[in-house]
Amino acid sequence: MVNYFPKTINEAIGILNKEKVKIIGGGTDLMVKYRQDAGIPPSFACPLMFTNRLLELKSISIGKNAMKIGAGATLKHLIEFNGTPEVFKGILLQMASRAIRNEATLAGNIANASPAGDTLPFLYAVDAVIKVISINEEKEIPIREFITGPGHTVLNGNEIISEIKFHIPKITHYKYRKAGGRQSDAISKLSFLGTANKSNGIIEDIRIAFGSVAPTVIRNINIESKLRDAINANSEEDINKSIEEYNTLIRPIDDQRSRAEYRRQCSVNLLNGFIAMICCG
Amino acid sequence: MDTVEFTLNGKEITIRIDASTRLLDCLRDNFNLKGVKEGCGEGECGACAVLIDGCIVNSCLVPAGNVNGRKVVTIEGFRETKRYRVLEESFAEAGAVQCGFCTPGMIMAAESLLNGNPEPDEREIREAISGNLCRCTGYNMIVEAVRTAAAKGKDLW
Repeated sequence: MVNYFPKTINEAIGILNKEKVKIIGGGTDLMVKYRQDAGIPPSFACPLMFTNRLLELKSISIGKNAMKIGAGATLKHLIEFNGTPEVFKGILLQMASRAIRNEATLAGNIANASPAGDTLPFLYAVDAVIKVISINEEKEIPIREFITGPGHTVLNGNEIISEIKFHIPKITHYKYRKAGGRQSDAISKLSFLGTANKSNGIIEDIRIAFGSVAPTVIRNINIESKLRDAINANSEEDINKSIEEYNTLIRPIDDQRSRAEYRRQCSVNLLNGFIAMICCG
Repeated sequence: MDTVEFTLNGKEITIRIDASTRLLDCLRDNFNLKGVKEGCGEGECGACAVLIDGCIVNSCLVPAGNVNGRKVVTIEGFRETKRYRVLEESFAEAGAVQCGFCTPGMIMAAESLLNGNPEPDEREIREAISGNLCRCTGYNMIVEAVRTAAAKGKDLW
């Protein structure tokens, strides 16, 4: 089987147009997903296209309060980049391990589309857009449309993610919590991200995302609006209604990592804690 | 079969290999470098850790095709350096080696840490080795060893 090592994006999309290949960036997910016994290469059913030397994909930049992250940028580079939002950096530092972050890419975490993907709650919260290119066109797809279910995205066989971009919202308060079996190298049992922009005692913006408790990240801007208004009106009744609405969206499962009931209760507890934090602070 | 060109423990290497081969297997089987261990094969234990371009990486997760043009250092290569000798002495003093299986990976993690942060505090040491599992020592002795090495090797890192 011939594997490919394109040196430019144009070369890469030309290959994708001609042949069914598997795109491999850092490889930190794929090498496990397709692993075989020791001493035997992973069982990829088609040729690989190695993208880790495509320099065009490695840039990270900030301009007009928007961040652009090349598909080949590693998590290490994102952590070290001066403009990475503090909340995002904190999430990345809890992800996997140094050894994995040195090779893994943000694009890979998105393309893997795991319900437990560590970067996904943040990307949903900031309405990240995934730029996808092929020989025919360039598309920009909001992340909530890009990921369709566990392990599934709308990426076609002749397409490649080139960039991830988002506007950096103003954040005065945030809470991120990942519940896992150990501090490092843990696939999350559940995760919670809440961000808020509070100014002169008024919540102007609130964003809430839950990970690992549904097939895809839970984020609902209607409930966010109601919750924001409820907090500003100091209405405990309406706050509780919003919490209950989230409770109906949370659909965790029992699996080898955790039980559904724990995931549900913990998620609601974290939501309550975040609301208390922004009410008081 | 693909051609992969990289630097391995200071030597320029060209090898014909399926580029999807795990770097771990390439190092152990093609180059007989047994200091790189397979503990889990899933990137969770760190026993397979090597340095790529000075940074710690789990070799069980790296396809050989991804080391093209890069510098790979295993424990066998690092062993020849002054930094290693300080770490070796410190690990021995602290009783940080029992069965020894995690030790090559722990040494790689220590080097990766000290290379970027020559005076880490305890929290930073623990974070740096958090991707490496040890069943024997309970970690405290390893943390002490890295702290001692940092103090002894002030001019090296």
